[in-house]
Amino acid sequence: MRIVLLTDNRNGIPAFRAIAGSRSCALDLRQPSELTELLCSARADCFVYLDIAGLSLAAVRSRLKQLSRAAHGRFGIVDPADILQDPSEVFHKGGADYLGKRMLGKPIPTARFTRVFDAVRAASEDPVEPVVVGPANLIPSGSNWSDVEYGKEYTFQMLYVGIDHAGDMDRKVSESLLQSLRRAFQAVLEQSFAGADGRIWVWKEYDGVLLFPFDGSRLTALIPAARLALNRPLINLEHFSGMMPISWRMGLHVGNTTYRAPGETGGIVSEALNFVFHLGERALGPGELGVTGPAMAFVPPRFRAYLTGQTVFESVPFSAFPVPG
Amino acid sequence: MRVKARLRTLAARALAESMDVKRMIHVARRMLGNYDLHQRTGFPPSVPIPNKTAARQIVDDVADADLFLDFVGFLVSLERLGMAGRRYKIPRLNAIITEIIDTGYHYDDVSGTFVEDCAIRTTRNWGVLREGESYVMAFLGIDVTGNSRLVREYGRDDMQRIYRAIRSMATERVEQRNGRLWSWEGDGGLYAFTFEEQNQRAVIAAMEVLHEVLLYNLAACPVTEGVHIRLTVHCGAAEYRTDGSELKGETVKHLWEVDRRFGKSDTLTVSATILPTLAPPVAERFVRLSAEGDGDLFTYAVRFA
Repeated sequence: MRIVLLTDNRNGIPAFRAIAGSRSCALDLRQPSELTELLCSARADCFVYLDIAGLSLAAVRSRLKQLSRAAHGRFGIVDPADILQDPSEVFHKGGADYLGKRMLGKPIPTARFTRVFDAVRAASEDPVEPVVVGPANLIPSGSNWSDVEYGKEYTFQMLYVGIDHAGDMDRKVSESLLQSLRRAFQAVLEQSFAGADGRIWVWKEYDGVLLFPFDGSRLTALIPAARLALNRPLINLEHFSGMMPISWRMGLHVGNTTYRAPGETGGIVSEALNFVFHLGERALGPGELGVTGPAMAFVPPRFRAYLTGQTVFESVPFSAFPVPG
Repeated sequence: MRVKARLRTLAARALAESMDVKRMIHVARRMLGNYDLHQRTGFPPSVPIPNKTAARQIVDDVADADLFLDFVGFLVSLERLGMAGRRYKIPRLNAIITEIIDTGYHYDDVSGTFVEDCAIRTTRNWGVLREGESYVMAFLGIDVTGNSRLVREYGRDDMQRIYRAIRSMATERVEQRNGRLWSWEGDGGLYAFTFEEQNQRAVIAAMEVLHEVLLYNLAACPVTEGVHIRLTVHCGAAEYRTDGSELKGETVKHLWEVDRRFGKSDTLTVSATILPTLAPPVAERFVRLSAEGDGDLFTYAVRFA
């Protein structure tokens, strides 16, 4: 494990000296001002200790919020002046360790750090119990479209995709440009999800739902969707440079619906389809990729660690892949 | 490139119908240097050479010198921009270009030459770079961090499989942007870009490779801690050599020096010559890295808001 200790103290924190000779841990000393940059690039095997000496309580809480968002479960607080009256605040915010004045008075044995990191590792490797609120009746459609029969009900992967700030665009951009933009965006979607057998199933003016076959275990739409979120600036440059930069939000769900061909979906009554549209239109933020509870059950464990901030919408929990800055 | 007889005939006709022999010689000298048409055709200097004979001889000679694509590129520029203040209408130019495109090349507007279409064929020199000539190129270096430790911990076979996966991911992203893999050794490699907007294409490919490796780590990498890479992009002059000795040239050396001294895990580092050539939406994603004595460097890493 790599430990990053953010401290103003030029000599570091004496209590951490034991780590310097450790084979299993590497200690990296940084300035507290580097916190934001560090959190942006911090890897999963990196544990952050923040020295809060000299900070006001408000500043400490702000840092805790920041750490909670970007390094949930992988940070600890070094509090040589016992600023925090209630150290459990650190744990409530997702911290994994707190070192107060008493602890810092003598060298901390490496074994203690190892215990913390083991617990962190165990927590991240523990499969998160998926919150399965549906589909109540799992009817996997199979791994491709060949087994899907018209008019029958199956469980599919459903991906809501919506262009952000559509109302503004309607006012500011000519209809012909909007049409070109929509066509170009749909082409990008088709190309991006072709490998996962995705089809643009329902499309309104600025948003729609892509349908993917579901074999009951693999969420094949997840990685292409995350790729689309990460590559947004590159896609804008390479595909929309003659038009205007856009952003989009996505919501990935697993649910049941009767299958009909694209263009014949008007009469379909599907709670899952309604839900994924509502989720995209009302709950997702610009640029966000939301993954609902039912879909979460099939997300690879390491990816799950990147899905943060669980929220409940229409009684269904969902988490979001953070928006790349 | 092997030039078929039909294409030679088309080009000879186009040349013969668009200019007189004197100007043809001028065009031939642009391609071949000191070119003596009388000596090549066997006509005594005092005897005028017929247009068609002159054109056929010139086309054959440029084709034999493997300069046919440059020659057609020059004809395109004669029609678009002209020569010595005069523009030429080149008949059958579209047919010639179509024939060339059918053989797997496309016309690069900026360099004014034909380059191979990587959907059809991928060669190290894009089918056009010449031995010993110097070109302005952008290079992308990829290096896996902590290779020795990874091999020690997870074994050579598993790590080689992972490195092959990274190489394949990177090569796909690079070739989508008309870059070429120039070398790959174990845990890292060097990609080259030239022609139109080479710096931007190299940087975009590098950013996408960074994203791909992140996704690979989250979903598919057999090593729990994932693999982490450093990427560096630098541009400059490079002499093309088929034996790969250009990999020891100054531009490439500087790239690996930057990688070794300033490269960070999961980060793309670009040199100061690269940043101003990038489109603002890409350039603004880089942050300045202080690099004493080596000019400014700029880095990009995936940052979540």
